[in-house]
Amino acid sequence: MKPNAPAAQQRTLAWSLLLAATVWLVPANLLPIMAVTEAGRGKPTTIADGIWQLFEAGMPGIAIIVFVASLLVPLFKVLVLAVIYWRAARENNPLLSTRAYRLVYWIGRWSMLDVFVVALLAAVVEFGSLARVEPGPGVLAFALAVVLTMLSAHAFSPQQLWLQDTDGADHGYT
Amino acid sequence: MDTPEVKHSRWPSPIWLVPLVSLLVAGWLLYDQLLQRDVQIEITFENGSGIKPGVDLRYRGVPVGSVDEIVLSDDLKHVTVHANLNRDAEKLAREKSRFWIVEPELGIAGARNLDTLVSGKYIAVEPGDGEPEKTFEGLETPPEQQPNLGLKVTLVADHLGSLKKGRHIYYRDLQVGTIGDSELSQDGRFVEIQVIIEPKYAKLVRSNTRFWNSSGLTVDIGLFKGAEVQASSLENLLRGGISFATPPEPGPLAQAGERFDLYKQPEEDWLEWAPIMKWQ
Repeated sequence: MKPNAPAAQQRTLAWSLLLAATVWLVPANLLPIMAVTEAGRGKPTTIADGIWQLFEAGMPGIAIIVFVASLLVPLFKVLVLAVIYWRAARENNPLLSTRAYRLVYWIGRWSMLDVFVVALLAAVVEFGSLARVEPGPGVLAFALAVVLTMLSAHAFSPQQLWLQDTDGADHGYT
Repeated sequence: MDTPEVKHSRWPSPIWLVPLVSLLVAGWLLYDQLLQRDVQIEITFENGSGIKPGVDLRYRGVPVGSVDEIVLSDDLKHVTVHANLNRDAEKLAREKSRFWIVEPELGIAGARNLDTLVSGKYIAVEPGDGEPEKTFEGLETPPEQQPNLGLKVTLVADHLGSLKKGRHIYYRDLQVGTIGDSELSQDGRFVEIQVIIEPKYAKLVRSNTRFWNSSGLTVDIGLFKGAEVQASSLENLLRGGISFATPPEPGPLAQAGERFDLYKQPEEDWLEWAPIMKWQ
């Protein structure tokens, strides 16, 4: 058996999960993640709406944190993983790639913050008609994107970056 | 030793089902959610009295949307109400759709829209028939009191009396129109009352039509005939209204804006007048 067979299979798995995560990122950012209803009125907010509201409310610091944590980081993770997978077949700088991979893997555990915030708010803010928070469909998409990104990163083992491929790219093991 | 035989499957790995299913489900979710979203409309009013965010938009008494926010126009002459219309009520937002604020109306003879006292005011919608639209000019009064619909004539009277806006015009005690705005004439000697006759009854008004104030009652006490009490209808008596009659030889159709005198009471034979009006 060729030494790169499991590696190519691994990459197929990682790629497909990453692709699925990318797909889910679209609704995660376009759909409302929660609907805050105060005294009978309110409307669903998307991540971008929430950031803009924070900014307008005079909290640019928090707005930037939310922007980075909720918008940039998930995109960044997907992009970095894509680059790592792309280069994996003919890696010429395995150290850099491994570091990037470890970073993404480490961030993974923090990326469900948004989901936790929404879940917590929905559970705690429940005062009948006075005020309530309902999770929106966006948060589901967001959670799926995060989980799929983490699974994708998990499916890929960085050891293969250090193995010399005998004949490069994956061929027919898909 | 035999080397294992490597078989190349003709089918792609089943793992690709994950992104495929994701694509389908996410696409459906996006389609469903984005297209199910409410329709945003803007309505301009001269006066936003009592309208708050959260106030209902109603059509035939059923909520079809709500007010999001109210902003003042740049020239401070209007208020713009941003509202969202439920997806299923989207067809209400058309070119000639009319929006007006429904307020409670209390009087001796009747009360209307009393629900607004408890639930607050709301915006009523009457759909138009044009192309879909997003911005509208709100009406200041309900459409039945709109001067641009129906025949508009001016009555000249000495006193306004109880002929307030929104009271009715009667022809043979049948309601055929409403009283609009009233103002003092330029020289200050008379009161000019705008009267709006519904389009289908506009033919009843001719250049020789007589209008009289039919509110109140006439009590005629004579030595030999006893007391005679005259009132057109109880509602009219309490609320105030205007009646009119057209002579047996009806003149040409009244023009919009034509002026008529408003008599305090009808002459006896006016009540007998029964001209045959030719309907189209």
